Amino acid sequence: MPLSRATDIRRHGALRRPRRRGLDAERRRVLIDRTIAIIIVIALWQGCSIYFGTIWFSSPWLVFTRFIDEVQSGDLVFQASYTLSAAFYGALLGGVPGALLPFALRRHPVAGAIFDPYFTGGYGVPKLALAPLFILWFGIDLEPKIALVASIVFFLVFFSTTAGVNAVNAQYVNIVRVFGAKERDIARHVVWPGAIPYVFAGFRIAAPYSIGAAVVGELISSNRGLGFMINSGATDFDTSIVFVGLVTLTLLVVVINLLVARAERWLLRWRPPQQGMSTRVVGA
Amino acid sequence: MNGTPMLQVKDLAKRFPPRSRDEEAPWILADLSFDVADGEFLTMVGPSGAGKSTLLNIIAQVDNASGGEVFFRGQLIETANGAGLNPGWNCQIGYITQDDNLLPWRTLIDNVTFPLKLQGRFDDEAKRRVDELLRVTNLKGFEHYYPHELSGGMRKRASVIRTLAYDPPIILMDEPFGSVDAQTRTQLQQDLLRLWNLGRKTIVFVTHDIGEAISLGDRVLVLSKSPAKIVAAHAIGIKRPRDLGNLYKLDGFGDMFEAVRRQIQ
Amino acid sequence: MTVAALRALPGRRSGRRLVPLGRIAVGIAFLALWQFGSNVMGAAWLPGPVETLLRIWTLAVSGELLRDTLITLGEAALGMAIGGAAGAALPFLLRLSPRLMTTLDPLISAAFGMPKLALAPLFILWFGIGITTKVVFVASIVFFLMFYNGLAGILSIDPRLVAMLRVAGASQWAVTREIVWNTTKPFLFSGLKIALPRALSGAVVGEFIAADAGLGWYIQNARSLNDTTGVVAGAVVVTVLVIGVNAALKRVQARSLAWRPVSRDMTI
Repeated sequence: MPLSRATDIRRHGALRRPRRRGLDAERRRVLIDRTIAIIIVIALWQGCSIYFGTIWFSSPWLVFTRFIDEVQSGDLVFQASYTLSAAFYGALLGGVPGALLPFALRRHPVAGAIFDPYFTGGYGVPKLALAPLFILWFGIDLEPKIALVASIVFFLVFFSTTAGVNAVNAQYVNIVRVFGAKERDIARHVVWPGAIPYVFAGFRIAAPYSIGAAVVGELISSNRGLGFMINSGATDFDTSIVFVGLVTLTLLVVVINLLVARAERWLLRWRPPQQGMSTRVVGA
Repeated sequence: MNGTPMLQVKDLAKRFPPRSRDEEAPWILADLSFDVADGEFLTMVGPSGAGKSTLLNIIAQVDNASGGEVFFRGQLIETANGAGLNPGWNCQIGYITQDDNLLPWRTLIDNVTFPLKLQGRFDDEAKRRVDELLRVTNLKGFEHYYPHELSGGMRKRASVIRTLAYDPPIILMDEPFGSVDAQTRTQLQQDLLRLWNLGRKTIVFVTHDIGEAISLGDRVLVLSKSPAKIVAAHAIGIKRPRDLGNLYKLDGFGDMFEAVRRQIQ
Repeated sequence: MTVAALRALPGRRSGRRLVPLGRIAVGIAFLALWQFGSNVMGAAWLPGPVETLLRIWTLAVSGELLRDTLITLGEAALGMAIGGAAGAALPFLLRLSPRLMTTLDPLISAAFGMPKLALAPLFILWFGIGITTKVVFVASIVFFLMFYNGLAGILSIDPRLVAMLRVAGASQWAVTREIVWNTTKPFLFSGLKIALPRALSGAVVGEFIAADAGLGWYIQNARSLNDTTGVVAGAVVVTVLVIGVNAALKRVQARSLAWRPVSRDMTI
């Protein structure tokens, strides 16, 4: 549920305050509030930096200038692309089978029933805790990170797609059958379009986790990537680069979320507007 | 009109699926028998929950029966065995359900042409027919809208012409106008009669609204409470074309209404 | 698969017997494949099930298993307590100022989006490689989880109910007690349910990066020594632990939630 609902709470809860007139005034006020909030956060940061020392906290200015440096030198893009490629390829490798398998299982319900506890079990296995195992098996380069991300994304997308396939509207299936649809037509024209929102939800939830998993892989063993950048920075007491890395990661996740939401909105434009759709996802 | 009825239902019976091994499941339909002549507009009226939808599901072959037989044009249809079901009977049956069941991810025109395209029959003549149907139901101009952007009445009309577009000889209708407001309903009923006049298809129209059943049909069958069976049949003598708005003023309408109402109890 | 769904399977009588048999068959096939893979690839790359079990047994007997498990569990529990309390309390406070909530909305979204696991090196920088680091790490993960759930609960409160109570003269405290707490309670419990396995996972990951004891340390240490059996044994123990905790939590939960994978109930 978007926090703009809080505006309703404000309108109803603050019975004593006079009602503001006009939406523009309200929007301006929110903007001013948010700017003040950001300034306060930066000021607090600067305060911690002064009080505890830049070696522990760096400082807003230091991080900012370091960020610019890294971008200009191309180093940030280099590291970020490493992390991103691990996340992206892993998401593809895990997400595509995760999205397709439920459709196959739908036609073979007995097989689905047999494998069901194994899928649930596999979902429950803490993949991140098995990261060293992946590294042992696949080496220390990009492969283990891709494998790690894939293993996580697979289960997320699999279960959400399964929910979508199971939620298929039986009435649609019946009516389409009366029109003369065969099994393949049903899968193509009813089950698949009906399940797409769920597939998307799976990817939307998986997106921040893919980045997180790639970072964990890098933290444990890597010589490239944002996780590596953060780790080596911490080891060298180079706090500025640590914060640069953290900020970059946050930006990446936010941007990816936005892109996925945008893609979803376009692909699913046939959907009636949803109430209380949460666009927020908790990162790993 | 030749002698063989378009549709024959003999001693149709259907039970609920059993909850447990020992319990006897109750019957939804029992000893249901009736005929529908070619080109007849048959209405069936009964209380809610009597199994009207189940009956239509069995006839359309999306559900199987526990007993009894169904004949189309004299041909016996296998309905007891689930595997033998042939939903839609090779596109000879149209089925307009209570919910409009338009596929939400398809535009209006994509929905209406969907059966035709599925059957590979979307030729120029079909295109013309679809065009005409859109015009008659005032849906022209809305072709590229998604169902959620259309009003309930428009969606209803779209679902009706979706079936009419592929021109099946017999059409089943399950309380199609139940979910719209009274004004829209009268309008839709007029539209339906007008469309029906164009082709004189065989229609089996199920409703719980007695007035609707009498106004629209050539013949009214009254269903009893569950387990449903036919308790009465009334021939409607009112000549067509009918003025739906003023039908209730006609002689005999009130008596017929009262008679049916009592039979439903 | 639910019983009802099983009943609906075609040819249901044979299907019903087939399914549990099939499950056992798949389980055996999995173990056989594991052993086969071990034989083919060599125990250095993939130790077989028997070897792994033997190692676990050795560790259990020597007491190492218990010691490391307790350390990891302790870190997880402590982190959960701290992070959980803070994360659960904050939404209640935030609720008192809707203006603040609207203001902080984008910042909160960004904070949620950041992978908390990336904070590990920073915490190591600040707190060293001792227990504190892991506790803080777990606390940060659990904090955001509980905060997210608590916030969802707060936002789901019907403002009309609140207005109604205020009009009737209820104090802020009464409103909190009656409506806010009851509405938010199921969200918080749901959050706790997924926080525990996450906390465990987080503790283990934290130990990967910097530790000198605990299950995660054991696994990472084994890896650095190329002790593949140790890595696999440790991984099995962690897996069993997390799955066991999950199962126990499910049973503890009085009211069963319908399994909705597309929800906050996510395990990593």
